[in-house]
Amino acid sequence: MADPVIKPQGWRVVDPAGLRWRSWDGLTVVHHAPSGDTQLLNAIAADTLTRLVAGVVSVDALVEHVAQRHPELSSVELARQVRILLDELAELGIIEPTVGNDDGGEASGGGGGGGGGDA
Amino acid sequence: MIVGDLSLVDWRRRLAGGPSGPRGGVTLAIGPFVTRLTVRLPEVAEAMHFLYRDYPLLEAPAIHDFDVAALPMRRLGTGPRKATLHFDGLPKFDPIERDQALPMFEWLLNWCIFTHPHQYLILHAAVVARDGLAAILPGMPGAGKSTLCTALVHRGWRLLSDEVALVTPATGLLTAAPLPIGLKEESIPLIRAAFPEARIGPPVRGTRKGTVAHIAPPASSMAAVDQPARPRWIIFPEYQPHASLSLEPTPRANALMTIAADAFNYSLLGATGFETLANVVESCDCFGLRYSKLEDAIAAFEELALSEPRGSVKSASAWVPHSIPKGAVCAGQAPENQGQETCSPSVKSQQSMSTEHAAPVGGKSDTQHPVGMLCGTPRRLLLNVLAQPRRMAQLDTPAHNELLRQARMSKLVARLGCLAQDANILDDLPAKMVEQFTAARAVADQHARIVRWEVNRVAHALRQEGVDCPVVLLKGAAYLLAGLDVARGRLVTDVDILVPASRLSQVEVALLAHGWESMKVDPYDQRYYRAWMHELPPLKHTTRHSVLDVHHTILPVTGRLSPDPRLLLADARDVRSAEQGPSDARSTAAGSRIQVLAPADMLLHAAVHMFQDGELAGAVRDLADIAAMIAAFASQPDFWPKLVPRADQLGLQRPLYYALASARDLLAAPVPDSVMQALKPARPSWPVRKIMAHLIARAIVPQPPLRQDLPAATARLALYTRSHWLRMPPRLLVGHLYEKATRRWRRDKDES
Repeated sequence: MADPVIKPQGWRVVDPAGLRWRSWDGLTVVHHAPSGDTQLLNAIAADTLTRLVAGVVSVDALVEHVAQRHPELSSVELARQVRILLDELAELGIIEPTVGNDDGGEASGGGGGGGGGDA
Repeated sequence: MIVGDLSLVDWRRRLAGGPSGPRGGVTLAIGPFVTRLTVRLPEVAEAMHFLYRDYPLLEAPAIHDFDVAALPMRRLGTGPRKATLHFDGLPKFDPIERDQALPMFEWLLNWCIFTHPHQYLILHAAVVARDGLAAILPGMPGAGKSTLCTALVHRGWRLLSDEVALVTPATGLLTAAPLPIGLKEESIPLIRAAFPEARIGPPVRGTRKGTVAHIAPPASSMAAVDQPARPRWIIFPEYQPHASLSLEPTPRANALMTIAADAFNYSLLGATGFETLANVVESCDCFGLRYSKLEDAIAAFEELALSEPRGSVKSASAWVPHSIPKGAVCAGQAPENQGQETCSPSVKSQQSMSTEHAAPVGGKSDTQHPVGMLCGTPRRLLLNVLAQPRRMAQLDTPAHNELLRQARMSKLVARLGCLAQDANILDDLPAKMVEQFTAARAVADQHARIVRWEVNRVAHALRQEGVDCPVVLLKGAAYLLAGLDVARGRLVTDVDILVPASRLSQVEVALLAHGWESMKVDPYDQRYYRAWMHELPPLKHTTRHSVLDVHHTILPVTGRLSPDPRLLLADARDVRSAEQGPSDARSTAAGSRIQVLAPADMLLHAAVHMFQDGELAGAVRDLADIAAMIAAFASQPDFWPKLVPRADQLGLQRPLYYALASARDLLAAPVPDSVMQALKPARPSWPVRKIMAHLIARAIVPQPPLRQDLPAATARLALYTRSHWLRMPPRLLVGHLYEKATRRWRRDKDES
């Protein structure tokens, strides 16, 4: 069977219901039930993950979303941080890239890819 | 009655128990924990009479949470006098020198509380309280936690514990379980000088921590031991010589991560652990306290207490109850080691697949209690209850203790809890027993969570590396992901998978690239597995520490039976996606498919695992699995008609016969007569059948060494010999045993 042409679409949280959150004083702790791991997030990471929980999003849209909340950071620096973060979250199994094929359908992708999910 | 009501002579006599054997001892209440103590070391008994003076003694029979013993070893020759410490009748450590027995025994009691009562969130911290409000003092070794705690409890604060904060998830309240406070080195004279009223036990020199001594909990703390306290402050103490006092706020998120990293069962409780700890942190003001003078630190605590309006409980209304599901089993786990840092994702909530612990030394004499009348001989108590769970409600307290002991040794406490729940008898059982079910169920739930995640990660790794082949889950992981009832309350210590032999090396390379590594580095071990066994040398993940066994068939290639694994793979079933959790575990066009064996093959694999490949002695859980599978599959119309022909096809009639006969005889499994009749040609001769039935009945329920009788020991040895005989041809077996013996000899020589 020939592989469909894969088009990277963006990123999404694998299991949104498996995340539990608490935020105090600008820091967030999030518990990922499937792995049992607890993560400590700074404000950028928390904003990124919050946006991902809302639905599939491209890297560019993520950067734009976070930039609105952190105007003090340059867009280049912010994009770099977001990409690193996406890789880390994917490696932890919290998020995965979404891909589309040429018939317009959408499927989960390889997971943990090197930030290649932006449209 | 308290310990101090007994004279030293009487205390020693009662603590030592009867004149022979392991039975006897006293039952002590350590907070909520009913602890059976047997001590036959007079010097330890004497120190305990002093340190435990205010502890309640329980006279009536009670369900034991812990059963511990300190016994002398017989001395041969002129070596140092030694002692052994026991938990549930099993030796806990290597023999220790007698003069170290007291601190080691105290450590054992602490360990019991660290590792068993999972009905609580168990944090590693001292806890003191005033006016019902508690200060939690987490502290790394050397931070001065115990010294500060000792000082506070001699200045009006109440001791809940020097080592553990026990949080009830449903209420957020802290339960007291005080043990004597361990002090070391220079803290001992410091406390002796500052608090002359402190009751300090004998110093013990030469321990791993230097000189140590124990402080008895103040009588006032023991008088209020049954009063819970509300978390109000979290204070991280840090002793620094010459430092000025400072009390600085600590961000709550950092406090949570630090406490979680050092907690005893935070990961084990999963989401309940997180919510409970988050609620605790939210209820508290969090500080770092640096001090060099105890008086300054005490003053800081006084100031905190005085600033609190009497009776106020800040944030109490924010408490979100989180209960551990009622009604299942128990076990233990090692303290966790977690990393932590701020910003960007980090942190590891280490999960370990802990095992359940063994069983009590005692219980009164078997003839003193009506166990026999209700459930056959005590030796078969667990078997009889598994066959008829409602009998649990008819037992008396000593029989319940014996049942729990057998279940702990068999890793079946959680399963018993599930059976009690199904039989609707939880309300008829002692609360203490249900508590142990609840704690054990928490462990089983954690195992299930870990297994699901490991399957997810295996699928992820294979997909990342482009390995496209079926991955068939075996045993516990298969029962879980197939959604079988047998998985409820079942502990799973590793994940077993079966892959086509032709893809074995490809799968191994992919797994090694994703963090797994071989647990066997010795060349002989590597050869043993790769040339003779049915699996690769076990793999362990470097960060998650989970164990993965990758099989290419289901029996050793050197064994007497050789079922064709291709037949098993051909008939395997995809796991229903609803059972798989995250998407990585789903089958995808580009990745490996996660499957389980067909029902008949699953039962056959359990049969060969128990009766052809494994050791039958102590294997009651394996037989319970088989009985549960029979019960589950019996309703499928094609199960029984297919089973015997499938066994014929795979050449597994004999182990199937043993499995069905044993499950029917010992656990009342509903095996039709027609099936047994169909297996008649495969069954062994009459004398062999009788001998095997006798040996299995004798040895299948594990016994601790202190209670093992000669017939049971003989039966175990016979079954052990049989299992090796079946695994390898005699010549190979002799060579293998010779290799094992010489390696052990070399290791012992190196160690000595």
